Amino acid sequence: MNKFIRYMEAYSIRLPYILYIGTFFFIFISGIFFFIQAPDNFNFIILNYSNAIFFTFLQAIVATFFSSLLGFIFSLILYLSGKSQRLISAFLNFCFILPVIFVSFGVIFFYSSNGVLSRLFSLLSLDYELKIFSFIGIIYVTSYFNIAFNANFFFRKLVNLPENYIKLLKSNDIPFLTAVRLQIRKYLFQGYRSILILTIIFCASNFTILYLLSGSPHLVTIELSIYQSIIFNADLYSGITLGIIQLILMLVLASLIMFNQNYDQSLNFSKSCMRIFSKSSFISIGFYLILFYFLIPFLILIKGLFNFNLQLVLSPSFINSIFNSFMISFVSVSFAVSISLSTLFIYRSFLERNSRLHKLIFISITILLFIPSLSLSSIIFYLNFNLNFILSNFFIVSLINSFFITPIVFVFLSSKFIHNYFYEYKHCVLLNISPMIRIFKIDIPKIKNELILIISAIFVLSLGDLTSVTIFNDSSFRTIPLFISQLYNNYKYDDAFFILSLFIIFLFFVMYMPSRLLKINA
Amino acid sequence: MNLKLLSIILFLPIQVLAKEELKVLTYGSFVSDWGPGPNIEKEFESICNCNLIWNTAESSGALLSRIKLTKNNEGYDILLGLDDSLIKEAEENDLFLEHKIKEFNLDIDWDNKFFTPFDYGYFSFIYDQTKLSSPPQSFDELASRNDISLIIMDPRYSTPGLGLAKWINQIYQEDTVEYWKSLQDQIVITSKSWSDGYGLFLEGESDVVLSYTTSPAYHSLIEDNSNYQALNMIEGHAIQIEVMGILKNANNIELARNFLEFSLSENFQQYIPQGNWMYPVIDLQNSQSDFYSAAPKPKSLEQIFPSFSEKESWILNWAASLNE
Repeated sequence: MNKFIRYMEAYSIRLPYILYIGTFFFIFISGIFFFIQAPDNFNFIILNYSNAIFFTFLQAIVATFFSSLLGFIFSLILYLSGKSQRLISAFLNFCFILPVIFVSFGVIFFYSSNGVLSRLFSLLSLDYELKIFSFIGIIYVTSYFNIAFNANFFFRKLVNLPENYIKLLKSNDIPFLTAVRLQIRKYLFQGYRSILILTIIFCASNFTILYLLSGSPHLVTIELSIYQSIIFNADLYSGITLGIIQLILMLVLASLIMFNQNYDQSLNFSKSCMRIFSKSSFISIGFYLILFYFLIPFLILIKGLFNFNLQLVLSPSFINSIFNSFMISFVSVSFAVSISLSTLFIYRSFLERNSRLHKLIFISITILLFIPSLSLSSIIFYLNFNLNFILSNFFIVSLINSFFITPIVFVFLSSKFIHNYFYEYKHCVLLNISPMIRIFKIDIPKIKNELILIISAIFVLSLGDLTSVTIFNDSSFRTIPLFISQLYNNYKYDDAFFILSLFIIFLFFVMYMPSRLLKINA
Repeated sequence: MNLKLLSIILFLPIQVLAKEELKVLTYGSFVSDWGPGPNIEKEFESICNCNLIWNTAESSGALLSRIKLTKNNEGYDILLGLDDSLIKEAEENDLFLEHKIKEFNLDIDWDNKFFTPFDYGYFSFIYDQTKLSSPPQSFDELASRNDISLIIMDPRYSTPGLGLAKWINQIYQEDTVEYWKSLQDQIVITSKSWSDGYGLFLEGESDVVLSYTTSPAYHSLIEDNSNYQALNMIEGHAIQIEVMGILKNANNIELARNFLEFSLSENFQQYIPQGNWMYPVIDLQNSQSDFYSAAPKPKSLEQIFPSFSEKESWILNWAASLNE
C-alpha cells in the first residue's frame, strides 16, 4: 500500500511534464499532418525568402558582436566603479527583462528625427541625420537587452574573484586590466560559449523589435516573414515552413549548447573585492556613461508621467487589457513553474540512477528556446481552426507564453535544485522520505529564493510580451503591450507614453519587491 | 410567487432571454474609443433590439486574409473594412452573400451585389507647410525633388500602400516600374500600415507621407492645426472606397442585411467624417460643412476594381524597383 502511495505521489509530480510532452508531441504531429494536407498548389520557393534568412542571421551576428564586446567592457567598468554589486546586478537584470515595446519606444523618443537628441542638436545648430527606423535602430535595440545580459554574466564572474587574489594583485602592484588580459580573461570566458549562443538566439528571435522598427522591405527577418505570411497572405504553410527553417538553423547553434549547460549561477556578495582598487576618473566617467546608456529608454517616464490621464486609466479598454495581461501572466507562470519543477524532479531522478536519459529531458525542455513562437502560434491556430475554435485566445496565448518561459525557469533553477542530489537521495532512501515530502519540504524550501526571483522575472517577461498576442488579438482580447502599441499607432503618443510609464513603474516593483524582501541579489 | 412560474423562469434557456447578436469583423481603428464604431454601435442597438459585437483584425489589409484562413468558422456576420482593390479577390473566393439592396442614392457610382460602400477617400501625400514651402504639384515633380523624403506603405500589407501602387499604375501605365525606380531614393520608410507610417511622419521622420486628402481635416478640426496640407496632383487622385459585406456562413443574415441598410443612412454616415476621417457615401454637406471645407475633394481618377492578377502586377512593379 505504502509503495502504491509512493508510486502515485511520484506520478503526480511527473504529471505536468507528461502533459507538457504530450501537448508538445500533439502539436508536432499536427504540424506534420498539416503538411501532408497541403494543397497541390502550395509551392514554397525558398529564394523568395533568401533575403529574410540572410538578414536574420546578419543582424543577429552584428548585434551579438556588439553585445559581447560592450557587455565585456561595461562589466569591467561597472566592477571597477566600486558601486553596490547587488544594485548593479539587479539593474542589469531589470534592463534585460524590460518589455521590448518600452525600450523601442524609449529609443524612438530619444533618437527619432523629432526626438530629444534631435532637438538638442537643433539647439546647437547642428544637423541631425540619424535614422532610427533602420538597420542601426534594430541593432541598437536588440543589443540593449543583450549587452545587459552579457555584462551581467561577466560582472557576476568578476565579483566572484577571490579576495586574496585581488590583494595579491594589489601588493604586487599589478594593474587590474593587465591581470584581466593575462590571467582572468580565461576565467571570465569560462562557460561563455553558452551565453554567446543564447545571445545569438535572442538576437535572431527579435520579432517585436523588427515589428516596431523595420522601415524597409529589405529589413525583414524570418519571424517577420512568418507573421506576414499568416496575417496578410493567409498562408499558414509558408509560415510553418519558415519556422522549420529557422528551427533547423537554430538547432545547429543549439547543438553547441545542449551538452554544455553547467554555467555558474551562484553569487557571493559577502566580500567586496574591487574596493581595493583606486578609481580613476576614466572609470567614473565610464560608469556614468553606461548608466546613461541604460537609462535612455527611461526618459520616456518623464514625458509619460507629465501626461497623467485619469479617464484613460478608468476606461474599459485599459481595465480589460490589465485584466487580460495579469491573467495571462498568472496562468503562464503557473504552467511554467509546474512544468519546470516536474521536469527537474524527473531530470534529477535520472541523474540519481546514473541514467543518460537526463540529457533527453534537458533537450525536451530547452528545445523550446529555439522554436520561433510565431511558427508555434501558426500550428496552434491551425489546430484550433480544426477544433472549430474551441480554445480561447486567452488560453492559447497563455500556453505559448508558458512554453517560452519554461526553459528559462528550468535552466535558472537547475543548478540549485540538483545541488547535492546524491547525498540527499541517499538520506531520502535511508529515512524513507516520500517524493511528495521531498519536493515540498526539502526541494522547494532549498530553492525558495531562486524560485521567487524567477517567478517575478518571468511574470514581468510574460506581462511585456507582444509576440503571439499579435496573431491572436482581437477587440475583446488585448493585453497592456498591445493596448500601448495601438495607442501609439493611432498617434496618441501622450497616452501611450503615460500607460507605458505606469506599466514600467509597476514592473519595477514586481522585480524590486521580492529582492528587497529576500535581501538577496535579483 | 407562483412556484410553476418560478421554475419556468429558472429553467428557461438563457438564449431565449438573450438579445440577438450581430458579429462584425473590422479593423482596429474603426472601433477604437476615438473611431466611429462606439457611436454607430449605440445608434444601431437603439433600433435593432440586438447586441452589436465588434471584433478586429490587425489592419484592413489583414481582414480578407483572416476570413480566407478561417473560412469564417469564427462565425462573423459582416466583414467591414475591405477596400475596392480587394473586392474582386473577395468575390473570387466565394465568401460573401448578396446584400439584396436594390437602390443606392450615393455620392459615388456604385453597383455591386455583394458589397455596400460605407466611406470613401482620395489618396494623397500630406506635408507640413511650415517645413515644405513649395510643394510639388505632379508626380514627375515629386520624383525630381530629391530634397523631399517620403514615407509610403508596403503595398503587400497595407491598403493605402496598394492604393499608391494603383495610383502610379493608373498614371504611368507601362512606365510604372521606371517611375517607382525614380522615386526609390526619396522613400525613407516603407511602413507596414498606414497608422505606423503616418505616426512616423508626425514624429518628423519624413517631409511627406502617403495618406488621404481628408487627413488635414483631422489636424485642423481636432488639433486646430492647419499646417498639414494635402498635395494637389495635376494628374488627379486615385479613389479608395471602403465596403462591407455579409459573410456566407453568417448566423444572423436578416440582422446583417438590416445593418447594411442602416450603414447607408445618416444615423451611420454622420460618424464617418469626424470618426473615420473619410468622406461619407451620402451627401452630408449641410450638416458637416466644417469637414468638407477642411477636406476639399480633389480631381478624381477613374474608379477601378482590379482582379487578383492585376493587383499582383501592381505589387510586382513596385517590387521590381526595389531590386535595383
